[in-house]
Amino acid sequence: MKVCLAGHKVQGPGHVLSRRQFIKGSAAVCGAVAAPVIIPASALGRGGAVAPSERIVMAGIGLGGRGTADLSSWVLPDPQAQFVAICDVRRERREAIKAMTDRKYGNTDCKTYVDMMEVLARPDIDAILTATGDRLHATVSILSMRAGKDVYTEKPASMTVAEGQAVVCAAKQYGRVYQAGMQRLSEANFIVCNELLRLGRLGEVKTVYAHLAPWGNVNMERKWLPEEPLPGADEVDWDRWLGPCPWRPYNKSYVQGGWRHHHDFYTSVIGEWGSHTFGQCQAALGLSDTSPVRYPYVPTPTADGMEMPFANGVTMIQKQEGWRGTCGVRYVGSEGWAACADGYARPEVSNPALLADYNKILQDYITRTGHVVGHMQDFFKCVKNRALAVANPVTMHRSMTTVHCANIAQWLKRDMTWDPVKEEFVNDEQANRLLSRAAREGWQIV
Amino acid sequence: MNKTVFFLLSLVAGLSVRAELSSDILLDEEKLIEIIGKPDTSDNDMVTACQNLGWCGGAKAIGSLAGLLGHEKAIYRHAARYGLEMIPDPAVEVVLIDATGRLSGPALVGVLQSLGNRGSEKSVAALARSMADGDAAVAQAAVQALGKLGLASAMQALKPGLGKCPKVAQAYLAGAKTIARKNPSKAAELFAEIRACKQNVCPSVRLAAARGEMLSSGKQGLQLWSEMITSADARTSDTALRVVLDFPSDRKATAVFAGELVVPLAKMPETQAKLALVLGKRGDTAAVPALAALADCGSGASCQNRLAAASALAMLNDPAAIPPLQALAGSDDAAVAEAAKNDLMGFTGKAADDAVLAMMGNAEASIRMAGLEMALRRRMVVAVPAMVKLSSDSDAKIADAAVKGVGDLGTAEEIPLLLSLIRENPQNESAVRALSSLCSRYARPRGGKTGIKSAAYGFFESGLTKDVTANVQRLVDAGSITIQSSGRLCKWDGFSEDPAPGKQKSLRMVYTFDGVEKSVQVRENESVHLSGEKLLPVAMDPIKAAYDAASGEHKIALLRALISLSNQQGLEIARAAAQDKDAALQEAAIRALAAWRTPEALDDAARYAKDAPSERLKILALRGFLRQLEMSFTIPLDRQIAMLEDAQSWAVRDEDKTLVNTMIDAARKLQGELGFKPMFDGKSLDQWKGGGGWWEVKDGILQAQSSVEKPCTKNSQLIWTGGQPADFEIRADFKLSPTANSGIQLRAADEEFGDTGYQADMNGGGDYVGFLYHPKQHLVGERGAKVTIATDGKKTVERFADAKELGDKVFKKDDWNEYTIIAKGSVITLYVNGMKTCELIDHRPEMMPKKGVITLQMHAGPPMKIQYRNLRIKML
Repeated sequence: MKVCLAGHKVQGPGHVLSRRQFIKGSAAVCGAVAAPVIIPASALGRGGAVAPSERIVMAGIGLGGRGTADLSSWVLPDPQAQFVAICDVRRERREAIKAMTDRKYGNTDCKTYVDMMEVLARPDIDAILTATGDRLHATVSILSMRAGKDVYTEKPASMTVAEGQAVVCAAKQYGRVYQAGMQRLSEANFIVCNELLRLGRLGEVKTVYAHLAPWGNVNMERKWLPEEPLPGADEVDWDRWLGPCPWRPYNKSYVQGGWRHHHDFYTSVIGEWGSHTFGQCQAALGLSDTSPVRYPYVPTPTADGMEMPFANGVTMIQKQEGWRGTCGVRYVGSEGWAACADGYARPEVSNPALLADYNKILQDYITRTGHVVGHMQDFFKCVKNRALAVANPVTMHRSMTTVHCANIAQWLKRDMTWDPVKEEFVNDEQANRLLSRAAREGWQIV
Repeated sequence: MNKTVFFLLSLVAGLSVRAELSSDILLDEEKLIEIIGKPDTSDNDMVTACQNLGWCGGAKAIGSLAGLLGHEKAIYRHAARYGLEMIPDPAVEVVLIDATGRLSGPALVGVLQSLGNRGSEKSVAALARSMADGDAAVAQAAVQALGKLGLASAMQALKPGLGKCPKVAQAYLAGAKTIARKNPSKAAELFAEIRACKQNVCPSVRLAAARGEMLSSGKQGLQLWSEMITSADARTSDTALRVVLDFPSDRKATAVFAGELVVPLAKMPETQAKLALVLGKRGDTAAVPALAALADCGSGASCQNRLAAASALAMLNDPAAIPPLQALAGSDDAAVAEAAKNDLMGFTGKAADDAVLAMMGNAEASIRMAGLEMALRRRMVVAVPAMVKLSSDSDAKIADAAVKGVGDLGTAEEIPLLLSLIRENPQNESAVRALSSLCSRYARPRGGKTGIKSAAYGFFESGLTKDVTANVQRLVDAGSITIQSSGRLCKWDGFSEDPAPGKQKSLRMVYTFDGVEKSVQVRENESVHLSGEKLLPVAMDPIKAAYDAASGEHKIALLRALISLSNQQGLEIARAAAQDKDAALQEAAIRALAAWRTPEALDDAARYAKDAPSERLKILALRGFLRQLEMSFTIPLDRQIAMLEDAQSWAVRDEDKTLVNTMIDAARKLQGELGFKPMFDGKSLDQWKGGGGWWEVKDGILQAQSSVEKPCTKNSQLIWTGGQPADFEIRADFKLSPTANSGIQLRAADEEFGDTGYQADMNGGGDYVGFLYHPKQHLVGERGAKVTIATDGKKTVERFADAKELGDKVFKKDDWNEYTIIAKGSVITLYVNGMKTCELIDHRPEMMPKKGVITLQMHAGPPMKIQYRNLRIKML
């Protein structure tokens, strides 16, 4: 046995631990049996002032535009949380997040990191906020949970079915709280729509519509962007940026959001909003722990109109139009319909009477489920009481499975049947090949 | 074949491979193998081809990909494994295992990863060998892969390393977890082995192992759970808390969990509160006795913890939650009291109703108030008698809220109560509002009495509207009394289709109620109220009797309640009151008529705008008149203009005069638009064809854009398919980038790439805007001139302005401009932004055809952007 004896330099997250051990001696990081010295944030919220020892200590990993919005509108203003560190492979982002945080807290305490393993090794950190590109959401989440951190991750939170399964497994195994950024599950209007369906106010619901982004294609770009000179690792650590994905030459456009629409980094037009709207529909139907069973190929570049039935006969239909705002859902029942999208003052309903007791419906939901309105609030509450968050790993994984299955049906241009129990396609060996992807050397994390 | 041709051919061949790989997903095994075998294949193509071979490859592909496993380029090695991992053929294991004997360093790391993912028992020996590799990265990868396999033999191979390296413990954990699915008792042993290690186990792995052990070893697991939940270490107790949620349904297990709640955890209040909540989430009523004990006042726990227990009981929908919630609702801690009230409000069933009623009868004012609030939020009709009682409560706030509750939930039986409250105190605003609110429920139109004659939604100024009659009728039939003016009216099953994207839309309705026809127009997001057409006698009679008998402030208060429904009865009462000799009543009535919600009081408003007793009332009446006139689309425009012209003299203040004038201008403009129909629907190219592929619709704008990459090298015409008009007027807004060159061809030939007929010219610089161009005579219709051309071709020019000066004056660069083009017989006149720029009279039939198509030109040139909107035409 010569495991762990040498700090051989290898790419990827695996090597960091061995290097740290090599430098500091294994007991410092991993050998300790004794209880951690720092007591993590706990106790129920008391409203108003929160003692420093009760705050949830958070760090960010990969915060771009969306991550900045999460941080500035939900984390920094919240007295329950204390944001202490930013890890990003781009210097520009590290500096921007540090500046924003320090300005808010009036100090210079926010630490910066390039290597996420270093930030995850800090025992004082309770929770991670991550909003990298899609390709790394699951990797960062799993490594964070393995390090004992709770995780709020942006969506789409898995690149493949296998990745989603690994997230579910890690959260369970390490007993961590996980919230995927499907924030409409915590918005009043959408909650009320879901409750209208659940309470039977719409009659028997056989059809639900999930909004599909009105841009992009299912078949994504396979062509690389032209090679540009690679900046220093301090400016952009390109190798870490790529993570488990296939290597390709650097082009600054990728790191500035241009990774979208590239096959290796993106879950297509379907994943863009399906990662929200499928989850919303499935939650409304009480089908968050399964996925549709059939994915009929639609001969369009976007899968617009794909009708996906669940095993119980309810059909979820992907639609690019039909709402005035983004990320809409529409539930059509025998006695009425309800619809909602971003920007609606109130849900749209077939009869205004459906909304007469809007507040009561909302409060009943809160009492029944213990969830609250406000997605980060729900996460914080669960971090404190260890309950399952509303967008827990299963909810994320099963709705992302719907995304992946629909993508695969479109890529292979044929109708697919999915077995949600075995989590595999029925009688389609080729489709089953697409349920996982090989990671680069050193990036295997499960 | 010369060199150039050869070069071009090879370029084309290269391009086609690229094209095949990038445009669609190429799944042709032979072709893909050929691509990866070529020496000049690019790295990009190599990666894509290897990936695609994973999708479709078989035995042949395995051979090709295996050859890349040891490639010096990491990118190729990964691509090869990417493909191989996907191929189900067991031959893949053979090549991977074979590679472990040949490779080292990072290449070997990758192969070991792939073996772990493949999960074959055959790879155990090879992985075990690599565990002893001198390269730590290789050894780690082997350990990880063995854990991933989750096979007994792999665990056997890992076992010697357990306790010596944290990575092994982690892998062991992964393996045990996989084994737990099929053999929980075996897995429990494996988890226990990890926990037994004294060192080299990360804390999170140790806790995960404990969790695994608890979940896979039944009763013994519960013993371990009890130890962990009482641990002082929060992460340890948190792990135990999570087990409560994951542990299989079993009332005995729940009882064990609940058994720790009250006494054992009394000294650990934070864990106690969390355990209470997860017991609620667990959804097993076996936890009720323990939760009820904790929630009880006598439990000695803090109010936060009692609340946690009560909330958990509420999650379990157990009535035991009610007494503690009731007590906590009156807590001094505002946050606790609020949370308890919320939980009580969300609690369903009779037991909860009874608790609320009891609170309303409590001697303590704060509890009565809390009970009342809850009854209101729960909309408890059974609480109305209690509310009636509280309406005379000694606490003014309670009495006020109770009156509001009677208004919200009461029946006609409560009308006398409200009337007496108003009689006692006409300033009692709550009672007046409550009376209105109660009345609104006695004015619901009954089935068959409301008929929708017509309803249309859209932008009426340019005719972009949709008939929504059937959908509005369906809403009314379904019991709707309020019709909201919004896009959802456009299609019943919900998928709305915007008739005029980007425009402020309106709803116009003509409907009948009890045989009386009414019409109304409201803006987007406003509503038409169909309710209150007639207040039922059971409500109307007592109020009217009280009104007739009342005087002074009392009467005014009742007037406000009676007219709040804006119905016919209210209108008649208001009209009579406006003539009353009591000045205060008169003023209240005039104010009401001015602010009437439908246009039915239009004449009344006009009358009082002219001769109300005070200046202030005149102003109010005028404003009301203008608002109601805006809703009155059935009044012809010329009549509206005449009424507005009358109103000019009623306006007292300058700002009112300005307002009236603005409305006159708007109405005149609208009148000028009569007879026009849209040439462009704002969302599609439905009325157009041709255009050389340049034109698209974006945000309600018809536009064409060229770029450096996609230059416009040839003139083209977008052809209107609406016919070949002879005499017409066209109005259109246009906006041009500085280099743009376009124009509207008149009476042209139906040719996509033709250039015929006179053209209302335009370019971004403005040099040609307002000129009439002709392909054979160029800028013949000069800006600032009237040009006459006789049958013999003799041209006469009468100049009315300088071409440059006029251009500078009328044209706005880089902004929207309006063209008006009038073609009548042999005369064509152009206006830009309302100012005449050119008039041309051409008597030659060969140059001035009688009719033809209308087209929009895209002129060849540098990168440009051309935009049109509000394109409309009127036949003359």
